[in-house]
Amino acid sequence: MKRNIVHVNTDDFYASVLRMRDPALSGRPIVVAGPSHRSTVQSASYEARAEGVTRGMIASRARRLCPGGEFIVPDWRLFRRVSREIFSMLSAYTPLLEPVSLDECFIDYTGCGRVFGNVLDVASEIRSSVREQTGLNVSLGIASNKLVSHVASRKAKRSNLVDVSSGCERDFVAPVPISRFPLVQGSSVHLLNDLGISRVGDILAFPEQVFLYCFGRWGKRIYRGAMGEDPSPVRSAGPEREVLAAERELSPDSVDLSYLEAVLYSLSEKLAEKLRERCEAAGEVMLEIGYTDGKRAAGRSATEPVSDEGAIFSKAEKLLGRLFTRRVRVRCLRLQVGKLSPEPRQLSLIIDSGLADKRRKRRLYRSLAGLRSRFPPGVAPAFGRALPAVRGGR
Amino acid sequence: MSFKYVKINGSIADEAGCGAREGDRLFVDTDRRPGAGDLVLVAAGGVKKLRRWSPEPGQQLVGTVIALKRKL
Repeated sequence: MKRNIVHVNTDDFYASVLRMRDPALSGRPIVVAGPSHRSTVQSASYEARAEGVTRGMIASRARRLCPGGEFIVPDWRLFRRVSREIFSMLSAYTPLLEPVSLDECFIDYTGCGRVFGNVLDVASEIRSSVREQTGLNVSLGIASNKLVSHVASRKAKRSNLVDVSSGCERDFVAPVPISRFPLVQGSSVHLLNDLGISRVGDILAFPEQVFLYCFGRWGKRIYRGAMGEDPSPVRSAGPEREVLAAERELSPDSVDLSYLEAVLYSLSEKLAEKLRERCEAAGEVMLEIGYTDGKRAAGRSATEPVSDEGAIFSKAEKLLGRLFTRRVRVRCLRLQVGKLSPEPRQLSLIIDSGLADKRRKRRLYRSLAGLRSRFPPGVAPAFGRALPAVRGGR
Repeated sequence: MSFKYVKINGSIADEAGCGAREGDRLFVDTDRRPGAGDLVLVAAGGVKKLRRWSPEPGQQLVGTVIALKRKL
């Protein structure tokens, strides 16, 4: 059976949600960014984008480009709530819904036509119900696979629908600029431009084996994507996966590795404290580095469930070593822990010779956390590792 | 490959049952040779039709329909 995959994209999601909350913002350029002039732009409305503001830009630069814009601190709780409402509406049509971000998702409509009708008619219904219940507009891309439906929804924009005929996926993606192709991001665009590839169709001028040899698995995916092929299924999301995050904006920006490690340690302490309060342990550590030039690098590492700062920092430090490879100053560090589970209370069946040491460390971390809660930073005892971060940057 | 947009107005008949309606725009490849069963736009006797391709006398192929765009 031919697949019917729909990519749903909420138009100007963050700005639209903020306008719903405050109708006085209608028609005005909106920039969603943190309060500091050194924070990065999370999202910009169409009006702000027209003035040159882009996601990832430093807020101070965005203010120079868009002096009349409304700069608003993100309200992630509100954004997540509205996003859940929209996804809940869409899941009425199919159980196979895969969120991509707060404002985008894939739904697999294959076989659902027999129950709900032609997908083109249902698209109008989806648009109306989302608009009625949330006040937001959606654009839809429909195709036989996820990649082409994603490209189609980008072409749709602003309350449109684009339905790609079956068998025409390759011709549809061929004229798309390579910088707008979902599989190609960041520096890969320049890499492909250097090869003379400016549009997706240019990729097919190379033999597939050459692409595979030069770029490995990614090259094979790009090549198949250029042929309009993408066998990946729509994976329905399980229960929302919570993460705990701690972030620090450095002042001034720094390339001093020991200082970055100290900041990372203090972030690990914060996360460990949150985990202890919740009696939970984390099975994954994620680190994101934001550089002065706006570029970001991110990575993650799985771990056995951990809840103390030493273990979290150990993983974070290795991630830092792997990700911090550029000679550019770091502006912010964001540390997250995920795959949360209740802290194990039952003893392991495996005899752990380091168990006594782990218990001693745990008692030490808990004592230190207790002292930190009673005294201000710089006065409470801290591990030497974290002191440069407590005292301030360099 | 050569593409163009064709807007559906009252004079285009949807014989393919693809759900197209007035106001939709078709993204048509005028260079592509259609295979059997491909969705195509043909002109016959001054009337444009959307149908599944099979060679027939008296019809002029405008192009293969790559995609349909609709304002929601």
